[in-house]
Amino acid sequence: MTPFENTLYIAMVAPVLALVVSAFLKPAMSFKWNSLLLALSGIGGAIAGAYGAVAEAPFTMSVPMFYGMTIALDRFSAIFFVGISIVIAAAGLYALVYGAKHQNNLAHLRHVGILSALFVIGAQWVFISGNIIGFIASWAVMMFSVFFLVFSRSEKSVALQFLTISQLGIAALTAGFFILSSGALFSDFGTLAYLAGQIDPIQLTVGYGLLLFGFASTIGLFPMHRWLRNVHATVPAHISALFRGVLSGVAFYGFVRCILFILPPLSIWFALPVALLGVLTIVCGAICALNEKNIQRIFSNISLQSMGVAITMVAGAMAFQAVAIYEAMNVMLFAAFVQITVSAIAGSGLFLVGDIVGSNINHTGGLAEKMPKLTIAAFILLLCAIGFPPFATFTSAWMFATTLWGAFPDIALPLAIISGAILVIFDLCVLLSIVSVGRVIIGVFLGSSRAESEKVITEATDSQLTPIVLLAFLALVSGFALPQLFAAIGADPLTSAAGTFNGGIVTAMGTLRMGIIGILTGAIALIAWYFRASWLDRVPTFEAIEACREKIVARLTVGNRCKTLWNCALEKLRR
Amino acid sequence: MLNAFLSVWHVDILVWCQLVLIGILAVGTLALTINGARAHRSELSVTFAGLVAVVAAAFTNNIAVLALTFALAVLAATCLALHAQRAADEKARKAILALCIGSVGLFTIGAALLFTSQYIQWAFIVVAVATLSSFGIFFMKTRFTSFVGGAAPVVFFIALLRVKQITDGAMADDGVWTNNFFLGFGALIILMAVVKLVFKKKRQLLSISSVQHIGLVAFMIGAGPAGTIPAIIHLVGQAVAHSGLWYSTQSSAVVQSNTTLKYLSGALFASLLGAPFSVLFVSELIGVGYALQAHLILALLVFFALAIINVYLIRGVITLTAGSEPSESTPMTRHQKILAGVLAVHVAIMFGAGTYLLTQQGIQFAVTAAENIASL
Repeated sequence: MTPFENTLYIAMVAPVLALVVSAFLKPAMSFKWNSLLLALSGIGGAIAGAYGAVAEAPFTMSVPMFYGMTIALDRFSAIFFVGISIVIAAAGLYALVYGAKHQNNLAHLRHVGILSALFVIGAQWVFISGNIIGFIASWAVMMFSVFFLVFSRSEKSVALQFLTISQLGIAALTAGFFILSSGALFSDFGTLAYLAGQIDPIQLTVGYGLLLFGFASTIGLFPMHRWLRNVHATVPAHISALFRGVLSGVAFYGFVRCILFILPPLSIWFALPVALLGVLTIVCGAICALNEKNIQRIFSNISLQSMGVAITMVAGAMAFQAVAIYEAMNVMLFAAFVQITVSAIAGSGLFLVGDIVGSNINHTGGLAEKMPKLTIAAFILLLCAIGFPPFATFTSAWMFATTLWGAFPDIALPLAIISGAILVIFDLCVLLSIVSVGRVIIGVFLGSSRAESEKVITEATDSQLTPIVLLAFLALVSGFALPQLFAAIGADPLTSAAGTFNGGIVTAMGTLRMGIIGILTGAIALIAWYFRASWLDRVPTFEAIEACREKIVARLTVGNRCKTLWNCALEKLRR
Repeated sequence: MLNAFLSVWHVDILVWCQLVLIGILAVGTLALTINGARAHRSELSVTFAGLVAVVAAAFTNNIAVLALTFALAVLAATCLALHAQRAADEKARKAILALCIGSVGLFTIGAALLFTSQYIQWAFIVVAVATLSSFGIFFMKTRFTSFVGGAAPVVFFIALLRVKQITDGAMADDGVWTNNFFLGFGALIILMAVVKLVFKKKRQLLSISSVQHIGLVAFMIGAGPAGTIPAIIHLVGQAVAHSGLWYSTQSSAVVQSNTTLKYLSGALFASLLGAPFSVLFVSELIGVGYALQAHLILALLVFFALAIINVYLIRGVITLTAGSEPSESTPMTRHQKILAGVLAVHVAIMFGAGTYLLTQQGIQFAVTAAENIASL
């Protein structure tokens, strides 16, 4: 067996062992083993995914289940597999902290252990499933375990909200696949792609719509986003991190896989609903993050915005595919991959940070002095999440914006207007997210301590810090190593002088050189640190930031008025 | 004489499946009855009569014997329902009696009409209405609902499918007419279940769920010949899941007080919702997928109605697994141990058989069993 296969087997077997351990060993010990095995699975998966992303031939194997399904990890799925495995490893490590905190509630630990192992198994099998039944079964395992995880810890209304969305999502995905395959239930994805090309346009549209609904509801795109932030605010932090990194990642992977490998070439009209969903999600995430006081909810909304950005990039890729500008399509797709993977890493890390710093932004402050290590890691994760240079999320946003800008001469006027509007909204929302993140940085980490902040005055423990620092480190490295990563997975045309200091990402507006950006950013950070005495006192207070935020929110009252009108209309309809 | 007696019975895979189901439900019910609250002797006698009728109905190869066993089973279920409704008002008891007399009478008339080729359509309608209305009695809440409501509907629905085969043969239309009947009937029942749950906020959740699953089985059959395979799987699977959940709801206080029982009930409930690797997951996937191909819009409506029903069912039954976590260290009582054993068997069947059905051999077995429908 090759190292690729070995590590993949470790990644796949470890969560099964974690499940067995949780189900049959005494909970006092089993949760620890469960967490370690999940972490091992994540590490194995990340290595296997890295092998798979650069391997010439995909890993394939036949299994007796699902009517002789062939499981496969090709280059495309391997890229995503790396991202979700890193999050699984970090969440597994952080689960040890959760286990130590809840030693007295052994029944609950057993419950969480079994369900988180099932969730990981389901998510991994979604990636490697080679036919419809395998995919749907794995998807359903994942969603059912999420429901019971949410149910065990959250308010029942939150669990039921998720259940409604997940049931409708599974129903839509199943129906969509069946329509595309003309009822050929046992077909693999290759055959499905062939069959989808044979069906009439109406069926194709219905199938596409159902798949879009199924995946969008799981990703938590607007208007199906409420469950996401409610769940994030209530479940344990490591589960929240798993949901952010793995659940959203798997749903995104499924959608892109369908667009690229299953559906026949679609007209540009199919890209419009995706773009609309993406843009509305960006706007929703940006505005809701400003309005929130719960820190986990703020992180959840920032994550939502990132997902919206990634989906908008996919919409861009679909549009470029429809108008046969394949170079731009490739750039958009790679930008989306980077956005989803790196923002998943950053978002998951932020949920772990949120567990340590407390829940209410009004009651937490001045942590930079008391928790310097955590503060640095949190800064890195926050800046990465909103796409600041030199992080890979910035590069992906740059790729997206420049490609869209560069394509203006080649596209029709209506499309150019839509693209321009998307760019403007995107930039405005980036500004809003900078305000949100600034609010968190100043409110929670800088400035002075406020009421109740005395409760969290010591630095986080090593076991708490390890997964967070790991994620922050990977988020930072991903920015600098992006040209090398692109070159390794075969996206050479997007890179320039990869592997050298001068290496960078090629876009329509020239080459974005990572080394230079790194030096510039580092220099600015060093200068700022050196002259900190002159500006640190002038950092606006949390109250000043809040006043600024309220002004911005007041400007956005048009949206609130629309919401009030909409609610009134709904109320009348109900009567 | 012996030959004449033997000629009215037949044995095939499907019969064996029914017998295994009846056996499991009977043993589980008996074990819990002996160790739980003591049942009245008359109740046990009537249940035994019902058991004999149901076993005979599974074995029979003869319409007259089928009608006889049907009458006996419905009478037994009616007696149990009347016994359980002793404190209820006169109106409810009269309704139960009317339902019993109506279904037995109609079934007898329908069975007689089956021998006349010109009234074969009417015969099928009358038998179908009688059979399906009798399910209302089988699903009524009694001490033995887990057995009566589990086994009897399966056996008599399979009998109805055999009657369908006779009708299809007589009409020589490849089953188009009877399929349309089942399709419409199935969709109607599912729609009724949605209305009852969503708009009328009915609380007899397991009964509504049972009826809804019967509707889904009918819908699968109506989708076409291949729909019989998932329909049979679904019929047996829902009986196992519902019976287990009836055991749980009858002892809900006992279930609430123990983590293992809560997990087992939760697993059974998840299987009823079509959790992956359960029997109902396979049947719903194949059945609804097949229906989507045959009747796209109707199947889509039914599919989303099922999703809504699932959500409402969970809203209602959530109390079974909700509440504070009981301590793991509390030792189980004898009754709890037996209940746990019975539920574990049901969970093992649901997920073991479901996993088996996801293999080539498993689905081949289901195909063979469904093909046996044609042999009467």
